Amino acid sequence: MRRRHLPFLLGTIAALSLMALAAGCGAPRPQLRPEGPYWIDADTRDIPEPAGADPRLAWQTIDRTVFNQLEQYADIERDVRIILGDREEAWNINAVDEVPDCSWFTNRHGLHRMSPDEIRRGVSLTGGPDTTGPWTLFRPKVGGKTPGFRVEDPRGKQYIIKFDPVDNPELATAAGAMGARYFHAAGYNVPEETIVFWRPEQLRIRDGLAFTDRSGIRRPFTSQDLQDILKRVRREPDGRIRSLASLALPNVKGPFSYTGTRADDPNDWCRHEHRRELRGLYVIASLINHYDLKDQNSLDCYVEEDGRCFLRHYLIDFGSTFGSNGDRPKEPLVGYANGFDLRDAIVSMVTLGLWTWPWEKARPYEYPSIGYFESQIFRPHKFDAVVPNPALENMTSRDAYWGAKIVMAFRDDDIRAIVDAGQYSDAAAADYLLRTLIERRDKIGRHWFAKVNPLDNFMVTDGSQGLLIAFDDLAVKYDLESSHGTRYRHFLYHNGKRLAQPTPGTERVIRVPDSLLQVISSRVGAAEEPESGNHLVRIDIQSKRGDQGWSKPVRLWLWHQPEASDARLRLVGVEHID
Amino acid sequence: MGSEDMKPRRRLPSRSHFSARLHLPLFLALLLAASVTWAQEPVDSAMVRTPEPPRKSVGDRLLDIPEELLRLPIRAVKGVVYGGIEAANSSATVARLVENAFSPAPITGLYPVASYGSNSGLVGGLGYRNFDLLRDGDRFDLRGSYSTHQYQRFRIRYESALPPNDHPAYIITLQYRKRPWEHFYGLGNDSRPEDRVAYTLEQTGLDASVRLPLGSGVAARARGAITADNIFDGQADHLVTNLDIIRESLDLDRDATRSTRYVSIGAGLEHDWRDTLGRPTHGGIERIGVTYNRGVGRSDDLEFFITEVEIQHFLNVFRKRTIAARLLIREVDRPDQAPSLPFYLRSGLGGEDDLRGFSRSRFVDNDLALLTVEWRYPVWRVVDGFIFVDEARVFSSLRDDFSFRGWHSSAGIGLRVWSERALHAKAMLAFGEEEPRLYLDLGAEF
Repeated sequence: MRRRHLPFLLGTIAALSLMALAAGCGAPRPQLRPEGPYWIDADTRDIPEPAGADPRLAWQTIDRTVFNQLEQYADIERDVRIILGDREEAWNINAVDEVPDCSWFTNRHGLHRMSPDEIRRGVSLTGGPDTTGPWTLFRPKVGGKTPGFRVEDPRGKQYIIKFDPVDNPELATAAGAMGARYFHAAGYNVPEETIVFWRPEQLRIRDGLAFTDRSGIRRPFTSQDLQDILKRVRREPDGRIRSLASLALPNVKGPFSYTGTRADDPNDWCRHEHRRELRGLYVIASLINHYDLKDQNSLDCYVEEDGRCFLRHYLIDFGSTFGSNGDRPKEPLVGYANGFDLRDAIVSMVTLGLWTWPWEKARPYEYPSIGYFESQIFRPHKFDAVVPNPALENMTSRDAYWGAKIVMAFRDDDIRAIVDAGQYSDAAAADYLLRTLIERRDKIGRHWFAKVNPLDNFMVTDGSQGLLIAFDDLAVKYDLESSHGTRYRHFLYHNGKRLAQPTPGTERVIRVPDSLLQVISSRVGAAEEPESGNHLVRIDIQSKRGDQGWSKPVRLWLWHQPEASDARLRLVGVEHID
Repeated sequence: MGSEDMKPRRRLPSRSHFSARLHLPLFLALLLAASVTWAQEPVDSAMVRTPEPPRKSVGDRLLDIPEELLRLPIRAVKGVVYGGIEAANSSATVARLVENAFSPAPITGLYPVASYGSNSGLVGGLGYRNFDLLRDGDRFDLRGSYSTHQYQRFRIRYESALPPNDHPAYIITLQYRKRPWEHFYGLGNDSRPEDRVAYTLEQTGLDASVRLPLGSGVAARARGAITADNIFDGQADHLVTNLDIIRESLDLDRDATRSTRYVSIGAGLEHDWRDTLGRPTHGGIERIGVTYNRGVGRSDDLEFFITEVEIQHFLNVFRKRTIAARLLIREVDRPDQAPSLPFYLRSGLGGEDDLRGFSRSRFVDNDLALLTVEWRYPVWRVVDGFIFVDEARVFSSLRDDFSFRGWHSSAGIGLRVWSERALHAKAMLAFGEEEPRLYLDLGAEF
C-alpha cells in the first residue's frame, strides 16, 4: 500500500514545487513604473510599542546550527530552486536592483559617496562621553570573558564601556570603532562608537547599586568590586584607560532575527532572510571579517521620528571584527567556518586529518593590536559566520554583486579613514591593516564581479543625434580588469522583436539613433492595447574580456515617453542576470 | 515569458533561461493553474513604496501542506530541546553546572561527572572543585558518582600545585569505591570469554604523594598509601557470582580471592617534556616507579612489589597531526615465601586505559606489556579525532616467559575534547577479538 502511494506522493510534491516555482511565488518582482524605481520603503509608519524579546544565545546557536538547517531542507521550493540553480531573489529590491532606504538600511557610500572625513566621523550624536566630569557607573558586567560596565556621563548620556585584552592593546577598541564606521558608511544603522581615554578616578558608583556576583549572590556593588574589574584592564603609561564607549541605544526591543518577520511589528513586511541588505552582509562583512553575525549582535529599537514611532534595526558590537575576537585575537579559522561547522568536522573526521584547511597554513600574527587578519588565504566566497545565518545562506550572485559594489566603493582614502578611526599608536600596524584591507577589497571585487556582468551607473541622455546610455564597467573602473581587452555589445528589443544588430565595441556608451527611436515610437503608437507593455524597451548588454566568451547580460528596461522633456526613453529597470 | 509581453505596473518577468526548462505540456497546464496570484497594487508615489509581503499562489499554498508535514518532527524535537534549555537556564545551579562542564578554563564550583563503561553502565555524579583554596595554584576536588550497575565512587583530592609547576607539590587523596559487576575470566593470557564470572570489589584508600621538580621537566615522586580491599559475591545476575563457585570453576586458591589490607611505599622518577597537557603534539613523558606493599592486620603475610615503566612519545607529523605512542610495562612480584596474590591486585589488561577492545581486566596475570599507537588529528577547534591500535599481553613472568606470541590486539576510533591544560573528555569505539566496546568519559582525569 505504502509503496503504491509513495510515487504518487513524491510526484505530487514535485509537481507542486514546480507549480510554485513557475508562479514565482514568494519572489515579488520589482515594479516597473514610468516614474522610475522606488527609493524609499515606507516601513517607518507609526506602530504600537512592541514587547521586548531576549532569545538565549545557547538556544539560538543550537537552533541555527541544527534545527534551522533541517527546516531549510523541508522547504521544498527552496530545495528545488537550489537543484535548478535558481535561488529566490531578494524581496525588497527596487526595479534597478538596489535597496530602497528603509528602517534597516540607508543608501550611503555605495550610492552617494561620503567624504573620508564623513566616514571617519561615523555616527556622531554626542561625540562620545564627556571626560571632563565624573562618570556614574550604574550597571557593572561581572560575568563573561571581558570586563565592562555602563556609565552615565555628566550630560546624562549613557554608554557601554568596553576594554581591550590586556595582552593586545588597542585590539578590540579599534575594531569596534572601525567596524561601526564601516557599517555605517555601508548603509546600516549602528550605534555611536567612540574611542575614549579616561582616568579611573572619575568613576563614581551609583548610590545603592546592587549586582549579582559570580557566585550568583545579589549584593551591593562596592569599590572593591570596581577595583577587581579595573585590575583586568590595561592602563596607558600615563595611567589613563583606553576604552570603547558605545552610546546606549534607546528603547531596545531585543535583537532582530535573521529569519522570518517580527509578529509585533506591522512594518516588518519582508522576511529577513529575503532582505537584500541582510543577504549582502555576507560580502560586506567579509571585508573586515565580521564573523559574529548572529541575532544577538543586532537590536531593534522603538524610536520616534517626525512624530511617528516605529522599530529601527541596528547592527551592534563590532568588537569581533578585523583580527579581534573581542577578548583575544582571532584564531585563523574564524571567518572561514561556523563556530561549530558539522560539514567541515565530518570532512576532517572522515579523511583522518589528511585534508588540510587553508587557515591551517596561517602564520602567527605580527601586530598584537591587529591580531590575526590577513589577505593571502582570504577567499571571498569561503567566508563563514559564527553560526549558520539564514539570510547569508540565501545570498544570490545578485545580492553578492550588490554587496561587492558597496565594498568596492571604499577607495583607498576611504579605507584609510576607517583605519584612522582605530587610533593605532603603531603606524606600522595601521599601514599593515590598510594594505590588508585593500587587498581583501580587491579580492572581493574580483570574485563577485565575475559572477554577474558588473555594468552599472547607467545614465540616459537625449541629444540631437539620438539617445545616449552611458555606463560604468565597475571591474574596469576599479582597475580589476583592463579596459583595453574589454568589449561590449547590446541587443535592443521591443515587444519581443530585436530592433538592431549588435555592434561590439570598447566604448561604454550605447547609442540609440533618432531613426530607431522613431521606429519604436511608431510601434508603440500602433499598438492596439497601449497598456500592454508596449511602452517598454529592453536592452541587454554583454561584456567580453580578452579571449573569454560573452558574459551574461545586464538587462535595462526603458520606458518610452515621447512627450518627456529630458529623454524619450527613461531608464526604469536594471537586472543583473546571474 | 522571456519575450516583451511586459505590462506596465506588473512585475518584471521571470528570466528566460528558467522558462526554457518549462516545456512539458503537463507542467504548462499546472503553470496556468498556479499563476493565479492575488492582485497587489502598492500606493503609487514618486519615490516611496508601501511594501507588502508577496501573496502566495495556489501552488505555494498547496506546497505548504507537505512542507508542514516534513517540519512536524523537526519542530517536535526542537520543542523538547528548547524546553530543556529553558529549564536548565531557569535554575542558576544547573546553568552553572553546564558551564563548568564545558568550560576549557578551570572554574570553581560544581561540575557534572558522567561516563559509560560496559561493566559500570551509565555513571552519573557531581563534582566540586575549588582553586586557590589554601595557597595560590592549588586545587581541591570532591566528587561522587553512582551508576546504573550500582557502581559507587566518592573521592576527596587535594593538590597543592598543578602541573606544569616548578614548585614541590603534595597530593592527598581519600577514596571509596564499590564495583559490583567486575568481571574476571581466570588467570593467564589465554583466559576464555565463556569463563566470565562477576564479583564485587570494594576499595577504600588514603593516598599521599609528593612531587618534587628537579628541573628540565624531571620530577621525583614519593608515595605512601593505606588501602583496604574487600571482595564479595558479584551482583551480575546472568553470571556466576558466588566466590566459592568462582574459586572452584577457575581453579583458584583461597588466597587468590581474599580481602586485603596493606600499606604502600613507593618512589619514582618522571621526565615530562610534552608541549601541552591536553593535546601534546611533540615531546613525551617517561615514568618509572617502584612500590613496596606490605599487608597489615589479617593480611600481614601479604608482601609484593609493583614496578612500572611507562613511555609516551608524541611526534607532530604536520599541522597538529600527531603520532602518539605509548609503551607500558608492569611487573608485580612477590617474595617466594609470600602467599599468592589476590587476582585483583595483579596486572590486568582491558578497558578504556589500555587494551580497549576488551572488557576491563579481561586478561589478568602478574606482569603486562602494552604498546599503543594513535594517529591524532584535529577535527574541530578543541576536538581531535584519533585512530588507535593496541597490542598487549599478560605474562606470569615477563622476564622468564616473554614471547612475541599470544599478543592481543584491538583497534578503534575516537574523539578527544581537550584544552591546553587538560584532556576533558574522550569517546572511543574499540574493536578487539570479542564484541565492540564503546567508552564515553566526561569530567574524568586522564
